[in-house]
Amino acid sequence: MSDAPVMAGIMRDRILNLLKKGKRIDGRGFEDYRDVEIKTNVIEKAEGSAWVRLGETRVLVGIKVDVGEPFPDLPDRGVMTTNVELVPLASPTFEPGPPDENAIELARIVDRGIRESQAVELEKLVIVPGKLVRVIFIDVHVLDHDGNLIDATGLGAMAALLTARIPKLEYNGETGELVRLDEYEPLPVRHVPLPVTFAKIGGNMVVDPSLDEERVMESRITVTFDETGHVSAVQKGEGGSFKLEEVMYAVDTAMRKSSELREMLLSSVDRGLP
Amino acid sequence: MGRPEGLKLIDENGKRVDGRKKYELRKIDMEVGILKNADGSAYVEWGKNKILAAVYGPREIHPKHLQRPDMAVLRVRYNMAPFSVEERKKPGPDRRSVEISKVIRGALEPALLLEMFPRTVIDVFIEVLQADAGTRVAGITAASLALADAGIPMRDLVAACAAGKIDGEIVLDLNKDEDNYGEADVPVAIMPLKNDITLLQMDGYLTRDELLEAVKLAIKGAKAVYQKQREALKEKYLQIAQEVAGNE
Amino acid sequence: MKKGSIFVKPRELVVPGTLLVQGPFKNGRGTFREGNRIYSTVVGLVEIRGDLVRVIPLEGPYMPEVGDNVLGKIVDVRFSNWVVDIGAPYEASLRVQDATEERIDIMKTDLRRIFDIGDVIYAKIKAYNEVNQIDLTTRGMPFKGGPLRGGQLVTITPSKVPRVIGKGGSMINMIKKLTNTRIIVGQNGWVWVSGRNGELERLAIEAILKVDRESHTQGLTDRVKEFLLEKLRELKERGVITELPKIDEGKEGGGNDGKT
Repeated sequence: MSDAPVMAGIMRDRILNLLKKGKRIDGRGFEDYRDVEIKTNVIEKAEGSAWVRLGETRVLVGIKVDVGEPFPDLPDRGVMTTNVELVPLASPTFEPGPPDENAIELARIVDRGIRESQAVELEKLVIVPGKLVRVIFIDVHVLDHDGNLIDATGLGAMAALLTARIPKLEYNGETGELVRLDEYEPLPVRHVPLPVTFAKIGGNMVVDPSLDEERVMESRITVTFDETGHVSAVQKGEGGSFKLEEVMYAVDTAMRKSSELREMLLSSVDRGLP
Repeated sequence: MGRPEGLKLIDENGKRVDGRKKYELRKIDMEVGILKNADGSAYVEWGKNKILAAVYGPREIHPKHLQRPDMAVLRVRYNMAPFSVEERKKPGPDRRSVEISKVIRGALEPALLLEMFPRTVIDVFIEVLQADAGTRVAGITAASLALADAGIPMRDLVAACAAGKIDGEIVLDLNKDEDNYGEADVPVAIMPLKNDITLLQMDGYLTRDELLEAVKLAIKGAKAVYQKQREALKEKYLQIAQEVAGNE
Repeated sequence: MKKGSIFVKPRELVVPGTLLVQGPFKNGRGTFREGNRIYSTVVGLVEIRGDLVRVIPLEGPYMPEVGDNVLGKIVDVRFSNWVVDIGAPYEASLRVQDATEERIDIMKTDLRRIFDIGDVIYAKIKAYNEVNQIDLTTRGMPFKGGPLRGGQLVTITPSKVPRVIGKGGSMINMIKKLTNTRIIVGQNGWVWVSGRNGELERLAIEAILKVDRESHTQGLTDRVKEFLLEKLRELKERGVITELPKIDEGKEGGGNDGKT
């Protein structure tokens, strides 16, 4: 149940009829991503940032780093949080105000993928165990919504994390003083998990759905793989349902597509695998 | 993560912390039609989870722009009571419950013949009174019973169960310790009649094969839950029939 | 016997998603079809008449049908109509011209003098259209459609109204006669019960709720009669009533306000 406006019946029919012939409305194959463009370090005030264009979908991700207390149950880990803002300039269906369920779901899917693969080496971000750790904020601004915000956000978050540089800190154990040095070091990142999202439309599974496709889809599934071949998040979204075979197809295809995306991401940030 | 020293989730005899075998469900009890005000209701005890679900509607929805001219709108609110967990939970919706409410709605929606009630809303309220891992699958199970109890037409019941990975092994239906110190949790909901998967999430770190093994195991668990749901729905009426027969 | 298979017994209790029949059958209420199979969509009792397969629901909302006589409650008074709650998913409307034979000048008349907020009325469903607008009429209804004075309103599951009325009104007439009450059963499951004696009125309501609760069981009429007679004997012992009402079997008058 997306909040998208009513779609013209002819568009709906066109998408469905083309899919029956094995084609998509924009000419892509069922397993093709749209054109991807990634720029990093676009916001100087942020410790890390990335601008991602996926077809006509555009998102901007900023990484801010602060110092704070660890979670009581994880005293020897830095803290990471992900937040998404679906700002009204990006779509006629986005409203100003606190994050709605779509923004929250999006943030949590991307966050889970990064967190569960332990992509960011949070254990290296401890200053005083149980007391003082680095806090990493992943903040996502969606700028133009043309479908598949999950994968665009996942790419943007990893691009920003991989290129983030955080100031070195010097902690004086006796005075408890914390000095921020003028030297910078890369944020420690060990894995590159990337979400791959499918829409089910008229019983067909297509990767990287555009907004038009999302408006007619029955259901959605996202599978996040890292480069070790591990899955770190899965999410079936919206209504509709999947057969077990469709889930298996999504998992296997996601493994393949995420490694293609990863290669492209790493070359655009000019880095090898961590 | 923060796992107590030496805690083994599966012992040398293959038993889990609560004495269960790898593929064993916790004890599950269900009761239907227990609230007076709601149009339909159900109570599910699943291990230490205590979950209440209620359905109101179909009823007219205001403001009007929330209406759908061709079908009923399904609203789901999953909520945890402040006293449901070890450390008091702040009342009201947090980000976790907002997401869970959304995926539960997606899990229930395919079962409902919403097109029969255009311009109305069907409200599903799930209250977690005590939580011990697996509250979303127990909540879906209870909500599905409450919807049937409200007489909302359904293509099938929605049954749910989770599987996960603890100490390197894929097991059924994690409890709180297993969820906290295990490697992954995979909640699944299905419409068993046609094996349609209506909810699938994974929180953890699994290989492709482990993930698919967990999904298949969770589906098996959900099918066992389904049988209990069918019995619980009939039980309400069979009890009355028995009572009546006993009086004669 | 038709070709095809039946997987359930008559009046069997089923739940949503139960396979009922396969083959050349028609699917009625409480079912859905997929290919040549028919499944139940509700908790209810199976009914197969000829080739028509239905499930009579044991729970569920009232779905209006044109011609139904319903009880309703006035919830708003507008310029030329009343808004009426009839327990359906949608509110109903009663227009002035459908409420009275007289010509009313709406500019000069306060409609609340005819029906005020909170009044209970007895109306017929005149129209129920595709945009889910329900129009009522009270013209030609008993008591001019109300407002009903005194008595009490109870609600039962709409699908159980036929059981409360009974074959040819047998159940409801028995309850009326034994409790000396006036009862109107709306097709929407709203029931108005009014008696001079408060205890008897309460007894009638108990009997109606008993039928609602036990509607899926056998031998209900006899059981309700037993129940009423036992309670009446108690009331006589306590001096609430002086004599037990006579029951003349088989001879039942009309006075059935609902329909079966």
